[in-house]
Amino acid sequence: MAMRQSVKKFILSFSVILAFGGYALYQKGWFGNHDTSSQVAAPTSLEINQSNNISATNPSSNAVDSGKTSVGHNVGAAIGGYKDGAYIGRVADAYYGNLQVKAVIQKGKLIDVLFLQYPNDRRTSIEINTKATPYLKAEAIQIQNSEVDIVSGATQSTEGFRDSLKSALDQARI
Amino acid sequence: MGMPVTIEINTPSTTREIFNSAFNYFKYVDEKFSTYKTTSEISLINRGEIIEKDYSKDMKEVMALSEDTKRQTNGYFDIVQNGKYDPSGLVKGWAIYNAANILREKGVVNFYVEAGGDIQVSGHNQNERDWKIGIRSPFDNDKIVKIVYIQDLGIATSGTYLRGRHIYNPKEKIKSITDIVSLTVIGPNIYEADRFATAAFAMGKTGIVFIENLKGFEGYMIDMVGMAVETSGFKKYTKETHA
Repeated sequence: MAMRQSVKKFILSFSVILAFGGYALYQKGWFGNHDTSSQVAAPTSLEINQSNNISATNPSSNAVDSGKTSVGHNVGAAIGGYKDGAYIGRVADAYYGNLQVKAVIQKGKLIDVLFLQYPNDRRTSIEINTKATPYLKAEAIQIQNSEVDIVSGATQSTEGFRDSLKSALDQARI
Repeated sequence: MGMPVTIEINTPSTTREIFNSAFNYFKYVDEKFSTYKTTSEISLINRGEIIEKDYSKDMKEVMALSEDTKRQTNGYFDIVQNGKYDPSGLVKGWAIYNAANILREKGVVNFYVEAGGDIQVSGHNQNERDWKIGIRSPFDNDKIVKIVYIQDLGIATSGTYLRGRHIYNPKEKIKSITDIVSLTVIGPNIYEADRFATAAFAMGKTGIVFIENLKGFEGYMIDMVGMAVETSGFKKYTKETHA
Protein backbone atom coordinates (compact mmCIF):
# COMPACT_ATOMS: atom_id res chain seq x y z
CA MET A 1 0.00 0.00 0.00
CA ALA A 2 3.00 2.27 -0.32
CA MET A 3 2.46 5.50 -2.12
CA ARG A 4 5.45 6.19 -4.26
CA GLN A 5 6.07 9.60 -5.62
CA SER A 6 8.04 9.17 -8.81
CA VAL A 7 9.25 12.41 -10.17
CA LYS A 8 9.93 12.18 -13.83
CA LYS A 9 13.26 13.32 -15.10
CA PHE A 10 12.73 16.29 -17.27
CA ILE A 11 14.28 16.96 -20.62
CA LEU A 12 13.21 20.54 -20.63
CA SER A 13 15.65 23.23 -21.46
CA PHE A 14 14.24 25.92 -19.25
CA SER A 15 12.55 26.72 -15.97
CA VAL A 16 9.94 29.28 -15.10
CA ILE A 17 10.03 31.61 -12.17
CA LEU A 18 6.81 33.17 -10.94
CA ALA A 19 6.51 36.85 -10.09
CA PHE A 20 3.47 38.45 -8.50
CA GLY A 21 2.51 41.91 -7.39
CA GLY A 22 5.34 44.26 -8.03
CA TYR A 23 8.25 41.90 -8.31
CA ALA A 24 10.19 42.45 -11.45
CA LEU A 25 12.80 39.77 -11.82
CA TYR A 26 15.31 39.90 -14.58
CA GLN A 27 18.85 38.97 -15.25
CA LYS A 28 21.73 41.23 -15.78
CA GLY A 29 24.18 39.93 -18.32
CA TRP A 30 22.45 36.66 -19.17
CA PHE A 31 20.25 37.99 -21.94
CA GLY A 32 22.40 40.72 -23.42
CA ASN A 33 20.06 41.37 -26.31
CA HIS A 34 16.76 41.09 -24.52
CA ASP A 35 14.72 44.23 -25.02
CA THR A 36 12.68 44.90 -21.92
CA SER A 37 11.02 47.95 -23.42
CA SER A 38 8.90 45.70 -25.60
CA GLN A 39 7.11 44.32 -22.56
CA VAL A 40 4.61 47.06 -22.01
CA ALA A 41 1.59 44.99 -21.15
CA ALA A 42 2.30 44.19 -17.52
CA PRO A 43 4.38 45.60 -14.73
CA THR A 44 6.00 42.26 -14.10
CA SER A 45 7.70 39.87 -16.44
CA LEU A 46 9.55 36.61 -16.22
CA GLU A 47 12.85 35.76 -17.73
CA ILE A 48 13.84 32.27 -18.56
CA ASN A 49 17.41 31.16 -18.66
CA GLN A 50 17.90 28.75 -21.49
CA SER A 51 20.49 26.74 -19.64
CA ASN A 52 18.11 25.87 -16.83
CA ASN A 53 19.49 28.21 -14.20
CA ILE A 54 18.10 31.55 -13.19
CA SER A 55 19.67 34.52 -11.53
CA ALA A 56 17.21 36.90 -10.01
CA THR A 57 17.75 40.53 -9.23
CA ASN A 58 15.27 42.66 -7.40
CA PRO A 59 15.59 46.11 -8.92
CA SER A 60 14.50 47.85 -5.77
CA SER A 61 17.44 46.58 -3.80
CA ASN A 62 21.15 46.56 -4.34
CA ALA A 63 21.52 42.91 -3.55
CA VAL A 64 22.31 40.73 -6.50
CA ASP A 65 21.63 37.07 -6.32
CA SER A 66 24.44 34.69 -7.13
CA GLY A 67 24.45 33.22 -10.59
CA LYS A 68 23.46 29.60 -10.12
CA THR A 69 20.16 29.68 -8.31
CA SER A 70 17.77 27.26 -9.91
CA VAL A 71 14.09 27.63 -9.28
CA GLY A 72 13.20 24.49 -11.10
CA HIS A 73 9.60 24.87 -12.15
CA ASN A 74 8.93 22.99 -15.31
CA VAL A 75 5.87 23.79 -17.33
CA GLY A 76 5.91 20.73 -19.48
CA ALA A 77 6.73 22.35 -22.80
CA ALA A 78 8.46 20.30 -25.45
CA ILE A 79 11.71 21.60 -26.90
CA GLY A 80 11.07 23.38 -30.19
CA GLY A 81 7.41 22.39 -30.13
CA TYR A 82 5.91 25.87 -30.46
CA LYS A 83 5.28 28.43 -33.17
CA ASP A 84 6.89 31.81 -32.65
CA GLY A 85 4.65 34.59 -31.45
CA ALA A 86 2.78 35.83 -28.39
CA TYR A 87 -0.22 33.89 -27.11
CA ILE A 88 -2.72 35.06 -24.54
CA GLY A 89 -4.03 32.43 -22.18
CA ARG A 90 -7.53 32.33 -20.84
CA VAL A 91 -8.50 34.16 -17.68
CA ALA A 92 -8.25 31.59 -14.92
CA ASP A 93 -9.60 31.54 -11.42
CA ALA A 94 -6.70 31.64 -9.02
CA TYR A 95 -9.04 31.55 -6.01
CA TYR A 96 -7.96 34.91 -4.72
CA GLY A 97 -8.79 36.55 -8.03
CA ASN A 98 -8.32 36.29 -11.77
CA LEU A 99 -5.08 35.39 -13.41
CA GLN A 100 -4.13 35.67 -17.04
CA VAL A 101 -0.78 35.23 -18.74
CA LYS A 102 0.72 35.85 -22.16
CA ALA A 103 3.32 33.39 -23.39
CA VAL A 104 6.04 34.57 -25.77
CA ILE A 105 7.64 32.00 -28.06
CA GLN A 106 10.84 32.70 -29.89
CA LYS A 107 12.77 30.18 -31.98
CA GLY A 108 10.28 27.57 -30.91
CA LYS A 109 10.92 28.02 -27.21
CA LEU A 110 9.04 29.72 -24.41
CA ILE A 111 11.15 32.75 -23.57
CA ASP A 112 8.80 34.93 -21.57
CA VAL A 113 5.59 34.82 -19.57
CA LEU A 114 3.82 38.10 -18.92
CA PHE A 115 1.09 38.58 -16.36
CA LEU A 116 -1.90 40.41 -17.82
CA GLN A 117 -4.01 39.90 -14.72
CA TYR A 118 -3.02 38.60 -11.34
CA PRO A 119 -4.90 38.28 -8.09
CA ASN A 120 -2.81 40.50 -5.88
CA ASP A 121 -3.93 44.10 -5.86
CA ARG A 122 -0.78 45.11 -4.09
CA ARG A 123 1.19 45.94 -7.21
CA THR A 124 3.60 48.18 -5.45
CA SER A 125 6.87 46.73 -4.41
CA ILE A 126 6.86 43.96 -1.88
CA GLU A 127 9.89 43.46 0.29
CA ILE A 128 12.01 40.44 -0.32
CA ASN A 129 11.24 37.82 2.30
CA THR A 130 14.80 37.83 3.51
CA LYS A 131 14.30 41.37 4.80
CA ALA A 132 11.61 40.16 7.19
CA THR A 133 13.60 37.16 8.33
CA PRO A 134 17.24 37.98 7.66
CA TYR A 135 18.56 35.45 10.10
CA LEU A 136 16.72 32.46 8.69
CA LYS A 137 18.19 30.51 5.82
CA ALA A 138 16.59 31.13 2.45
CA GLU A 139 16.96 29.13 -0.72
CA ALA A 140 15.33 28.85 -4.09
CA ILE A 141 13.27 25.68 -4.19
CA GLN A 142 14.61 22.87 -6.35
CA ILE A 143 12.86 19.90 -7.86
CA GLN A 144 13.91 16.69 -6.11
CA ASN A 145 14.20 13.61 -8.21
CA SER A 146 14.32 10.77 -5.72
CA GLU A 147 11.45 8.58 -4.66
CA VAL A 148 9.80 9.17 -1.32
CA ASP A 149 7.42 7.17 0.86
CA ILE A 150 4.72 9.82 1.00
CA VAL A 151 4.13 13.45 0.03
CA SER A 152 3.03 16.32 2.23
CA GLY A 153 1.36 19.26 0.61
CA ALA A 154 -1.71 21.04 -0.62
CA THR A 155 -3.14 19.48 -3.74
CA GLN A 156 -4.59 22.49 -5.43
CA SER A 157 -2.18 25.36 -5.71
CA THR A 158 -1.58 27.98 -8.33
CA GLU A 159 -4.02 26.22 -10.61
CA GLY A 160 -4.91 29.56 -12.08
CA PHE A 161 -1.36 30.07 -13.28
CA ARG A 162 -1.11 26.58 -14.76
CA ASP A 163 -4.54 26.86 -16.41
CA SER A 164 -3.83 30.17 -18.05
CA LEU A 165 -0.31 29.24 -19.17
CA LYS A 166 -1.46 25.88 -20.50
CA SER A 167 -4.18 27.50 -22.59
CA ALA A 168 -1.61 29.92 -24.02
CA LEU A 169 0.83 27.12 -24.84
CA ASP A 170 -1.94 25.01 -26.40
CA GLN A 171 -2.48 27.76 -28.95
CA ALA A 172 1.23 27.87 -29.71
CA ARG A 173 1.71 24.18 -30.29
CA ILE A 174 2.79 23.14 -33.73
CA MET B 1 -13.56 15.90 5.64
CA GLY B 2 -13.97 15.14 1.98
CA MET B 3 -10.35 14.31 1.34
CA PRO B 4 -8.54 11.07 0.62
CA VAL B 5 -6.93 9.20 3.48
CA THR B 6 -3.91 6.95 3.05
CA ILE B 7 -2.63 4.48 5.59
CA GLU B 8 0.43 2.32 5.22
CA ILE B 9 1.25 -0.36 7.77
CA ASN B 10 4.52 -2.25 7.70
CA THR B 11 3.75 -5.16 9.95
CA PRO B 12 3.42 -8.64 8.47
CA SER B 13 0.59 -9.64 10.79
CA THR B 14 -1.64 -6.70 9.97
CA THR B 15 -5.26 -7.38 9.03
CA ARG B 16 -8.00 -5.76 6.99
CA GLU B 17 -9.84 -5.18 10.26
CA ILE B 18 -7.04 -2.99 11.57
CA PHE B 19 -7.14 -0.79 8.47
CA ASN B 20 -10.92 -0.61 8.68
CA SER B 21 -10.85 0.53 12.28
CA ALA B 22 -8.80 3.56 11.26
CA PHE B 23 -10.76 4.30 8.08
CA ASN B 24 -14.05 3.97 9.94
CA TYR B 25 -12.82 6.51 12.45
CA PHE B 26 -12.29 9.01 9.62
CA LYS B 27 -15.81 8.33 8.40
CA TYR B 28 -17.10 9.07 11.88
CA VAL B 29 -15.15 12.35 11.98
CA ASP B 30 -16.49 13.33 8.58
CA GLU B 31 -20.09 12.63 9.61
CA LYS B 32 -19.68 14.84 12.64
CA PHE B 33 -17.46 17.69 11.45
CA SER B 34 -18.00 18.12 7.74
CA THR B 35 -19.50 21.51 6.94
CA TYR B 36 -20.45 20.04 3.55
CA LYS B 37 -22.87 17.58 5.15
CA THR B 38 -26.21 19.10 6.17
CA THR B 39 -26.72 16.38 8.76
CA SER B 40 -23.37 16.75 10.52
CA GLU B 41 -23.28 17.95 14.08
CA ILE B 42 -21.30 21.03 13.03
CA SER B 43 -23.96 21.94 10.45
CA LEU B 44 -26.70 21.51 13.03
CA ILE B 45 -24.77 23.76 15.38
CA ASN B 46 -24.33 26.36 12.64
CA ARG B 47 -28.07 26.33 12.02
CA GLY B 48 -28.70 26.88 15.73
CA GLU B 49 -30.30 23.47 16.15
CA ILE B 50 -28.04 22.32 18.99
CA ILE B 51 -27.09 24.36 22.03
CA GLU B 52 -23.66 24.25 23.58
CA LYS B 53 -24.52 22.12 26.59
CA ASP B 54 -25.80 19.43 24.24
CA TYR B 55 -22.68 19.22 22.10
CA SER B 56 -21.20 15.73 21.86
CA LYS B 57 -18.05 14.95 23.83
CA ASP B 58 -15.83 15.10 20.74
CA MET B 59 -17.41 18.36 19.61
CA LYS B 60 -16.79 19.91 23.03
CA GLU B 61 -13.20 18.75 22.87
CA VAL B 62 -12.62 20.22 19.41
CA MET B 63 -14.24 23.51 20.43
CA ALA B 64 -12.04 23.72 23.52
CA LEU B 65 -8.89 22.89 21.54
CA SER B 66 -9.84 25.54 19.00
CA GLU B 67 -10.18 28.13 21.72
CA ASP B 68 -6.76 27.17 23.13
CA THR B 69 -5.19 27.40 19.68
CA LYS B 70 -6.78 30.77 19.02
CA ARG B 71 -5.29 32.10 22.24
CA GLN B 72 -1.87 30.60 21.60
CA THR B 73 -1.71 32.14 18.14
CA ASN B 74 -3.00 35.61 19.02
CA GLY B 75 -6.17 35.01 17.08
CA TYR B 76 -4.51 33.91 13.85
CA PHE B 77 -6.21 30.57 14.28
CA ASP B 78 -9.94 31.17 14.42
CA ILE B 79 -12.61 28.65 13.50
CA VAL B 80 -15.33 31.28 13.24
CA GLN B 81 -15.75 32.34 9.63
CA ASN B 82 -18.59 34.52 8.44
CA GLY B 83 -20.42 33.86 11.68
CA LYS B 84 -20.21 30.07 11.31
CA TYR B 85 -17.97 27.45 12.84
CA ASP B 86 -15.52 25.65 10.59
CA PRO B 87 -13.02 23.71 12.68
CA SER B 88 -11.49 21.85 9.74
CA GLY B 89 -8.11 23.53 10.28
CA LEU B 90 -7.79 21.63 13.55
CA VAL B 91 -9.99 18.58 12.98
CA LYS B 92 -7.79 17.16 10.25
CA GLY B 93 -4.68 16.90 12.43
CA TRP B 94 -6.74 15.88 15.45
CA ALA B 95 -8.39 13.07 13.49
CA ILE B 96 -5.12 11.75 12.07
CA TYR B 97 -3.63 11.83 15.56
CA ASN B 98 -6.54 9.84 16.96
CA ALA B 99 -6.49 7.36 14.09
CA ALA B 100 -2.76 6.80 14.70
CA ASN B 101 -3.55 6.04 18.34
CA ILE B 102 -6.18 3.52 17.27
CA LEU B 103 -3.50 1.71 15.30
CA ARG B 104 -1.04 1.83 18.20
CA GLU B 105 -3.66 0.41 20.54
CA LYS B 106 -3.96 -2.51 18.15
CA GLY B 107 -0.24 -3.09 18.43
CA VAL B 108 0.80 -1.54 15.14
CA VAL B 109 4.27 0.01 15.35
CA ASN B 110 5.42 0.90 11.83
CA PHE B 111 2.94 2.99 9.90
CA TYR B 112 1.87 6.34 8.60
CA VAL B 113 -1.57 7.89 8.51
CA GLU B 114 -2.07 10.60 5.92
CA ALA B 115 -5.05 12.79 5.11
CA GLY B 116 -5.06 15.79 2.81
CA GLY B 117 -1.27 16.05 2.77
CA ASP B 118 -0.84 15.94 6.56
CA ILE B 119 0.96 12.92 8.00
CA GLN B 120 1.63 11.18 11.28
CA VAL B 121 4.47 8.66 11.09
CA SER B 122 5.43 5.94 13.49
CA GLY B 123 8.36 3.55 13.55
CA HIS B 124 10.07 2.74 10.28
CA ASN B 125 9.26 2.32 6.62
CA GLN B 126 9.45 -0.98 4.80
CA ASN B 127 13.20 -0.55 4.33
CA GLU B 128 13.66 -0.34 8.10
CA ARG B 129 14.56 3.33 7.77
CA ASP B 130 13.08 6.68 8.75
CA TRP B 131 9.98 7.62 6.84
CA LYS B 132 11.04 9.68 3.81
CA ILE B 133 8.64 12.53 3.14
CA GLY B 134 8.54 14.77 0.10
CA ILE B 135 7.20 18.32 0.31
CA ARG B 136 5.02 18.96 -2.70
CA SER B 137 5.84 21.87 -4.98
CA PRO B 138 3.15 24.53 -4.59
CA PHE B 139 3.56 25.26 -8.31
CA ASP B 140 3.30 21.74 -9.69
CA ASN B 141 1.39 18.88 -8.11
CA ASP B 142 3.65 16.26 -9.68
CA LYS B 143 6.88 17.56 -8.23
CA ILE B 144 8.48 17.66 -4.83
CA VAL B 145 10.86 20.37 -3.73
CA LYS B 146 12.22 19.13 -0.41
CA ILE B 147 12.84 15.78 1.24
CA VAL B 148 12.72 15.21 5.01
CA TYR B 149 13.30 12.14 7.15
CA ILE B 150 11.24 11.91 10.31
CA GLN B 151 10.72 9.53 13.20
CA ASP B 152 7.52 9.50 15.26
CA LEU B 153 6.58 13.05 14.36
CA GLY B 154 3.80 14.86 12.55
CA ILE B 155 4.20 16.91 9.38
CA ALA B 156 1.54 19.29 8.11
CA THR B 157 1.58 21.56 5.07
CA SER B 158 -0.77 24.48 4.76
CA GLY B 159 -1.14 25.90 1.32
CA THR B 160 -3.34 27.66 -1.12
CA TYR B 161 -6.12 25.08 -1.08
CA LEU B 162 -9.13 25.93 -3.16
CA ARG B 163 -11.55 24.54 -0.63
CA GLY B 164 -9.56 25.10 2.54
CA ARG B 165 -11.66 27.87 3.88
CA HIS B 166 -9.66 27.87 7.08
CA ILE B 167 -6.74 29.26 5.15
CA TYR B 168 -7.37 32.95 5.33
CA ASN B 169 -6.19 35.74 7.59
CA PRO B 170 -8.79 36.33 10.31
CA LYS B 171 -7.14 39.63 11.10
CA GLU B 172 -7.60 41.04 7.62
CA LYS B 173 -10.69 39.41 6.30
CA ILE B 174 -10.93 41.64 3.25
CA LYS B 175 -7.40 41.09 2.00
CA SER B 176 -6.21 37.76 0.81
CA ILE B 177 -3.01 35.98 1.65
CA THR B 178 -0.98 36.02 -1.49
CA ASP B 179 2.59 36.36 -0.41
CA ILE B 180 3.28 32.80 0.71
CA VAL B 181 1.93 29.70 -0.97
CA SER B 182 3.03 26.88 1.31
CA LEU B 183 4.12 26.38 4.90
CA THR B 184 5.22 23.00 6.20
CA VAL B 185 5.48 22.39 9.93
CA ILE B 186 7.14 19.41 11.61
CA GLY B 187 6.06 18.91 15.21
CA PRO B 188 5.92 16.32 17.97
CA ASN B 189 2.67 14.96 16.54
CA ILE B 190 0.32 15.75 13.66
CA TYR B 191 -2.33 17.45 15.81
CA GLU B 192 0.21 20.02 16.98
CA ALA B 193 1.84 20.40 13.56
CA ASP B 194 -1.49 20.91 11.81
CA ARG B 195 -2.99 23.53 14.09
CA PHE B 196 0.18 25.62 14.07
CA ALA B 197 0.68 25.22 10.33
CA THR B 198 -2.86 26.55 9.84
CA ALA B 199 -2.27 29.52 12.12
CA ALA B 200 1.21 30.31 10.81
CA PHE B 201 0.05 30.24 7.21
CA ALA B 202 -2.53 32.88 8.04
CA MET B 203 0.29 35.11 9.26
CA GLY B 204 1.89 35.26 5.83
CA LYS B 205 5.62 35.79 5.65
CA THR B 206 6.02 36.19 9.40
CA GLY B 207 4.50 32.74 9.93
CA ILE B 208 7.94 31.16 9.71
CA VAL B 209 9.11 33.43 12.53
CA PHE B 210 6.22 32.21 14.66
CA ILE B 211 7.32 28.62 14.07
CA GLU B 212 10.96 29.54 14.73
CA ASN B 213 9.90 30.82 18.14
CA LEU B 214 7.82 27.74 18.90
CA LYS B 215 9.90 25.25 20.86
CA GLY B 216 9.84 21.76 19.41
CA PHE B 217 8.66 22.78 15.94
CA GLU B 218 10.44 23.36 12.65
CA GLY B 219 9.10 24.88 9.47
CA TYR B 220 9.70 25.35 5.76
CA MET B 221 7.88 28.19 4.04
CA ILE B 222 7.65 28.82 0.31
CA ASP B 223 6.66 32.17 -1.16
CA MET B 224 4.97 32.96 -4.41
CA VAL B 225 8.22 33.30 -6.35
CA GLY B 226 9.61 29.97 -5.19
CA MET B 227 11.90 31.18 -2.44
CA ALA B 228 11.90 29.03 0.66
CA VAL B 229 12.76 30.08 4.21
CA GLU B 230 13.40 27.48 6.89
CA THR B 231 13.60 27.60 10.67
CA SER B 232 17.05 27.30 12.19
CA GLY B 233 16.61 23.67 13.28
CA PHE B 234 14.95 22.40 10.12
CA LYS B 235 18.24 21.08 8.78
CA LYS B 236 18.20 18.17 11.19
CA TYR B 237 15.32 16.62 9.23
CA THR B 238 16.97 16.83 5.84
CA LYS B 239 19.49 14.11 6.61
CA GLU B 240 18.60 10.53 7.28
CA THR B 241 19.52 9.36 10.77
CA HIS B 242 20.48 5.75 11.23
CA ALA B 243 18.17 3.77 13.45
